[in-house]
Amino acid sequence: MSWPMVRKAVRDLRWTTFWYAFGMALFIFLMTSFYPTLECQQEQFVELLQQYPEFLFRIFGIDPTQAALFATFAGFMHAETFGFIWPVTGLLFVVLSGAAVVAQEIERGTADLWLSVPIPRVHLLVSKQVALLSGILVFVLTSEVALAAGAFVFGGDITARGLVQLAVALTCFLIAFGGLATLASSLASERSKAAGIVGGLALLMYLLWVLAGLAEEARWLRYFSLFTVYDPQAAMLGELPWHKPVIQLLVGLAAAVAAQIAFARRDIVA
Amino acid sequence: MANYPAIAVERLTRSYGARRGVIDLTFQVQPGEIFGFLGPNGAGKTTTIRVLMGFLRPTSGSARIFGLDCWGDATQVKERVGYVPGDVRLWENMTGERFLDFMAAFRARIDPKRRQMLLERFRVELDRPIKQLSRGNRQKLALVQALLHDPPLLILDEPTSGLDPLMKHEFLAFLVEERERGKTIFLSSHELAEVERVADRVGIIREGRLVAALPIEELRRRRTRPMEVVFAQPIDPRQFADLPGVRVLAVENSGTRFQLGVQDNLPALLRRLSELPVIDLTYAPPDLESVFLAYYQPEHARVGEEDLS
Repeated sequence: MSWPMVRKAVRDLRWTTFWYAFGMALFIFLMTSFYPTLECQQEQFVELLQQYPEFLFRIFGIDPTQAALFATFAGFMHAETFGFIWPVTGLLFVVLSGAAVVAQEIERGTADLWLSVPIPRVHLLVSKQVALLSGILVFVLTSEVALAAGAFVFGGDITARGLVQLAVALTCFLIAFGGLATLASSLASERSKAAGIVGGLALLMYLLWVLAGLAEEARWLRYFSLFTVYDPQAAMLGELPWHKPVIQLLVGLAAAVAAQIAFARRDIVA
Repeated sequence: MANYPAIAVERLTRSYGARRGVIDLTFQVQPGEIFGFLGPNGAGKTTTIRVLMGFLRPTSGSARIFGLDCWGDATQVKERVGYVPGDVRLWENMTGERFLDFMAAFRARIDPKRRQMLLERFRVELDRPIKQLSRGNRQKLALVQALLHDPPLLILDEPTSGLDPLMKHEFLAFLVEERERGKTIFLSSHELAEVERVADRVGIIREGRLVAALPIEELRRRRTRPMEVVFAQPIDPRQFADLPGVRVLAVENSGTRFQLGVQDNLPALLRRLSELPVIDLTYAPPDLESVFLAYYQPEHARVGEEDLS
């Protein structure tokens, strides 16, 4: 790893990280402010939910058999934020930022000077991956702080254990896709291509996961989706099965290492 | 390091699938010399440089710098090289100062006096963001970053592009001083006059192949300078047939406008012209095309004959 490169990459990413993190934190805090209203009308709300078709729950990342949990703080925040809006925003952040690590340097023509320094290519890329990881951590921790603050102010019920497990679940989810984005970037010469590949992959995984939940015959499809192991609701309740973040972490690390190997071996054509 | 050539390229071929890159290049650059690498756009100069910098892997053959393999030992190679890319693109949000600090952070030691000397000599703008700088000022930043760590070898791909004539002159003078300090310089260019001013030897590349590698004196002897002469009345081209080193390239306007190639023997030619009704004369500086003409003389002679007929 090269510290000057890490510093530059963190600096390059700082405003992107800030706006994504700040925007999401604001959204989370706003959502927590609606929870007291829901809490007062819990029974009617659960009744109403049960009228909805199953696929609507599935699309927004909610297990319909656990619709009753919607009335809890964890269930509410999952349905309103962490089941759909948060992963979509987080994916936008990591996919666009991760897709830039190599492909954007080539696309903008700065790769020549970037690679002219006496640092192995692997170290240059690891430095950018570390910067992306720091961006992910800031994004996740800001969301956590907003959630904890909202819970405190508006009477939401979440434990320290729930917060820690949520941080792990969210971080590992973004690491998985961040690793894949850096891999695509290491193979591509245009940022849009790299982002398109990983964005398309994420969308495909999401569809597979929704389909797997809708029909018994399609349940096997869940093994091909990283959304199967994304479980923020269980995390907020302090019941996160540990194999889920571990799988995401392993996918992310494997993709990051593959990116380093690919980058070290590829030609940089002007 | 001293026992090895600064650059040793051996039967180097690099292709891009069906597209040609460079084919079977072999040449050496000795420590302490300025080697001009001449060729028209698209000839393969940049591909060669990208192989030397470890950006591209050779399809076959080898490229070594101070005995180190340019692909396998790329990190050690870059410790010894200062590099200016052909198409300078910098990180636009940085200021000049931050850019130089960033590039210097990867080097073991930078002499602050050298940095100051380079900044003064090339009058680099440091305070403004790079995106606000003109092309020439960006080029100067790229030159300074390459020279900052005082490397034993400079690889410069069209380094004067975008510089104003005064700065170009200053930079070429600086290269000569660097050579006197024992530095080796690999100077890629398509401007013959620029290379002629500073190089000790030149390599000429055309359509991916090295046409020649020769001392600069030999190049001067072989290259042809174009002269255009306009006469008041038609002139017989045989008027120039007995002048060695002078060739009639084309005759236009019913025999009143002549394109001549002058290799040497200028005094004899001037004497001959003084006897003819000359109304205008242009003697252009040597260009790369004229060097190629020298290397493809039989082909060219045929063209000349057709023109004459």
